[in-house]
Amino acid sequence: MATIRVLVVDDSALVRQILTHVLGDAARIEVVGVARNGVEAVSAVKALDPDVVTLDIQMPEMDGMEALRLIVRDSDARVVMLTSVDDPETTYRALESGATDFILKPREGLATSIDRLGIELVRAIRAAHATSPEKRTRTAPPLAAATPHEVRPEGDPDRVVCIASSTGGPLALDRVFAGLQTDASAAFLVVQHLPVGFAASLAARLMKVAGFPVEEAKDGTRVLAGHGYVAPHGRHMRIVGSAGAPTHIELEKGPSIHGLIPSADPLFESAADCYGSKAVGVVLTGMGSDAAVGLLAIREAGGQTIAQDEDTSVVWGMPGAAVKIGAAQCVAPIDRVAVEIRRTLRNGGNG
Amino acid sequence: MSDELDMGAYRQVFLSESAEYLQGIVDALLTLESDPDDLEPVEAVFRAAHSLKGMSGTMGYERTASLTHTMESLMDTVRKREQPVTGDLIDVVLRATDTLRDLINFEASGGAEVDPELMVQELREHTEAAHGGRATQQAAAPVAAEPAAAGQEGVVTLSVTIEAACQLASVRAYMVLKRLRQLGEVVGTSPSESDIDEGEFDRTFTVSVRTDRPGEKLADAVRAITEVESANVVTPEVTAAADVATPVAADVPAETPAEDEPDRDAAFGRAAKAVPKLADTQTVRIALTHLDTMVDIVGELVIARSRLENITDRIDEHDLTQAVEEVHRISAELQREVMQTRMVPVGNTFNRFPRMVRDLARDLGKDVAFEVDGVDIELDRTVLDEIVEPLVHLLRNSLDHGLENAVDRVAAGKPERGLVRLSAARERDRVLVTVADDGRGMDVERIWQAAVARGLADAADRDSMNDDDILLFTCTPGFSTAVHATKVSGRGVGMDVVRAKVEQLGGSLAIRSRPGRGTEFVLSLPLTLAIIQALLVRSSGHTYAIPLGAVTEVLAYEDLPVGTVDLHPVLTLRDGRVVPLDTLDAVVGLDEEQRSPIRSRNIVLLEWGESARAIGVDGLVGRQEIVIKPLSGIFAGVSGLSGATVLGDGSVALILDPRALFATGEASR
Repeated sequence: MATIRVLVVDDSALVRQILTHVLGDAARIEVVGVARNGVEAVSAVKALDPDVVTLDIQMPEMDGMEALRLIVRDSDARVVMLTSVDDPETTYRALESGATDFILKPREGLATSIDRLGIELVRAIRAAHATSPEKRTRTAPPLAAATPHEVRPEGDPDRVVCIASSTGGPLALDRVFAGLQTDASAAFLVVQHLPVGFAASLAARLMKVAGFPVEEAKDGTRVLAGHGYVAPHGRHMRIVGSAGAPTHIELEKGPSIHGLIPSADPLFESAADCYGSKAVGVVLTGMGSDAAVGLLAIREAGGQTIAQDEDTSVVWGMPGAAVKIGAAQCVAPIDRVAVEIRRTLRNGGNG
Repeated sequence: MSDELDMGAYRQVFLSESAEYLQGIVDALLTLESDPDDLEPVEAVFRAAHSLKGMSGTMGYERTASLTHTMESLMDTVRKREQPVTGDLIDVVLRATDTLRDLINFEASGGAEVDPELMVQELREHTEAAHGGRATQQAAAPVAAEPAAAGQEGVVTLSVTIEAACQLASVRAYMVLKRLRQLGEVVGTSPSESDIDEGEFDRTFTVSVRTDRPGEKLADAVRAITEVESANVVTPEVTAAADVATPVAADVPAETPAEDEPDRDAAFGRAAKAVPKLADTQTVRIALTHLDTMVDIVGELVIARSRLENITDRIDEHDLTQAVEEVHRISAELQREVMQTRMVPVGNTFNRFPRMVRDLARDLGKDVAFEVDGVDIELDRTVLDEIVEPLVHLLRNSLDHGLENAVDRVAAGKPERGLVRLSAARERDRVLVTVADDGRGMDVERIWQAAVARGLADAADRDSMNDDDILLFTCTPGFSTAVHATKVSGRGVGMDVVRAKVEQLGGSLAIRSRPGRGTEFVLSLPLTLAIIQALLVRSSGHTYAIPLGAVTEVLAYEDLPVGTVDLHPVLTLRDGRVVPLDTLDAVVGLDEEQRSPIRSRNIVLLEWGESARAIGVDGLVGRQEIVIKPLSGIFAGVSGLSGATVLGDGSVALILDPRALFATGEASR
């Protein structure tokens, strides 16, 4: 396989050195250049034509957001943003402006920082490289906030909808949740591979577009109908309970599955176990094959399964894997996924 | 993946990078204070705090990360114009920067423990004040914002041309527009902004900005952007703003040449540009100990080379001579390069002074413009380190004693704001560092009387003394004409220490002052210390080295007439000057019985400042580069000697210290 040519952009020499070091240790990745600000980044992209750019946001001369716009407009480079946990808004704007993915700047001490970057950054770069440049800006314009639903059912859910996503996932989840305007007696559980600290802001954002409560899941959280839950970083999420009866979330530390914590498979498998035909599984865009086995378990338990189609997926890794093993009953473009979920819920339990 | 070695290396990168950011923050804050309406420096502070936060987080320095986070939040409110730029705000952020420096020292290099919690609290309170007071602030905003801008709002149109060689004209255009938006409201462009963004323009475009600033100021700001070829105001400006701006320059005393005195805002503009410049310099960091070792080794090489040359002279073998010449050339080049590594821009040290001057001016309640010039001039690292303390003293002196208070200044017809200037300039093999003020000047007569009263001078000699020499009496230990010893300059080093330090470095101090106009202290410093060109002479069987910089002429004994004045031998020079003549033996204090009976055959004429003296020696050995080694043991206290050097034949030569000769001897007047 070809080497992935990476341009590192950051105004801090320390961060540039750490990133270069980490990427230097990774197989099939070559750092072809570094840039210290947006202006240098734009000219370096022009001169070097890198496959992937890691881009800082706060920089002198020209900031990362402006550089992102020009890079996406004028080149085929895929962009991975390096952001900080206290600025989720900017991160989402970057995704809307064509950034393929984002990871958090390390902040837990050098040794851990380097180790974590070695995993997350390399994964994000590989995923970004696997996407096609044309898909960078295909996202629809930013969604308006939904009007909050006045009255929500607060009882035990009759059904659970489990959704898995990774690269390209935040914006795909936006579109799905914006379309879930339903008085469903279902609960929605999301596993999105995210950097630490981002689950809460993802939940807040999904709540805004959906108009119903979405929160970061905690161990023991009671699952309520008409609510959404996002798995936190670093824990696998499962549900315990049964349809129409009290249901709780259980979180557990590792071991990682497919190198991921959380992985969507434990959630999907627990949903297949507890809810059987009352479970709905959805696999959205993402690198790798997480959730494929779990989706198959839901299908085999009599539940409904949906996978995002190749054309609208940023990376058709996870949905593709699910389709290949025959786990997906329905394959839909992203703007049809919510419709399919609503149709499934309307049609009731046993399919 | 990461071992101890990496840790240490990354910590070094962190330390030097954070030092740059800290300096950048201080520079930007001072620039901001000088022009609170231009928020460009706020962005710089915000970004620096943000970067420091990220870096310290990466390293796991929790407290540093927390303090920089609160700094960033506070600057964010300023950036969003949620609170105005005030002296108090600048103060608190400057103090936070001090705490931050200590904190980094604690967390990254194991310095004294620092708890930033109080500082964090204070910053939070300032930040919350902005958020809490936003409603009232907005109501008050028109009142607060308008009077600050002396001019009226008008629309200025600029024509901007990007350099032909620029690869990304649209990127530069974006930066031009971004900069102008910090100074006003962009109301139109030609071609349209989206065309400019797409690069659909032929190097030149025009921008119209609604602003209360003079158009030239906007043009200056745009010209400061890289790859902007030109920026010119195309609308004739008739706003009051322009009228207000001009008299400042016109007020400059007529004697000051105009080109020396561009208007002060422009000077601050340059200071502002110096902020990002630090980051622009691409350098490799080397531990100082490596450099010092290299200098030492090259010194040894120079000595070994001289020995080799001595041997070659004896053997006189053509091939050997050629090879040695080659070695000579290469080692000379190597030496030049290595010495160059000791050179650092004076800006590295000067950049700490704006902050000090600002704090001092606030303490003294004086309004002071501080200008720094010649920051790119390079000086030997050691020399630079050593002059910090003298400069601190001179700057304090200028602020405290030199500058009058505002009332006196206005009464004297001067602008209320005093001017202090620190500058560096290269003059042949020396660097002149000048501290100047436009204050009351020094009272020569009063100093003269004090000198006479102290028995330092004879009242009858007044006519033969020029003013500059009299001013130098202030550098005599214990000499003070200051009426009040104030908190500021009534402590620490005095002028005598300043002069001693400068001379110890092989430099000299000159003072120039004009009553009512100001005072100027000029430090003339050698570029470098370790290796000098010297004249080697022999006297009574010993070899001595005289720094070539002090030697003006070498004469044979019979060249010029020797006479006596008051029984002391003197030499009458061709220009008629009469200078004292001593033998080198006498100068270094050799006892009579140790002195050679041989009559001196050569005379070396030395000049130091305005003084000259002649030294008789037994013979000349030649001119040579020597490596200065400090004297130790019994020689350490000998006055008149500045060090020793090892010669090519392995023997040791003492190095004469011309300054000491002129300080102790009877120099001519």
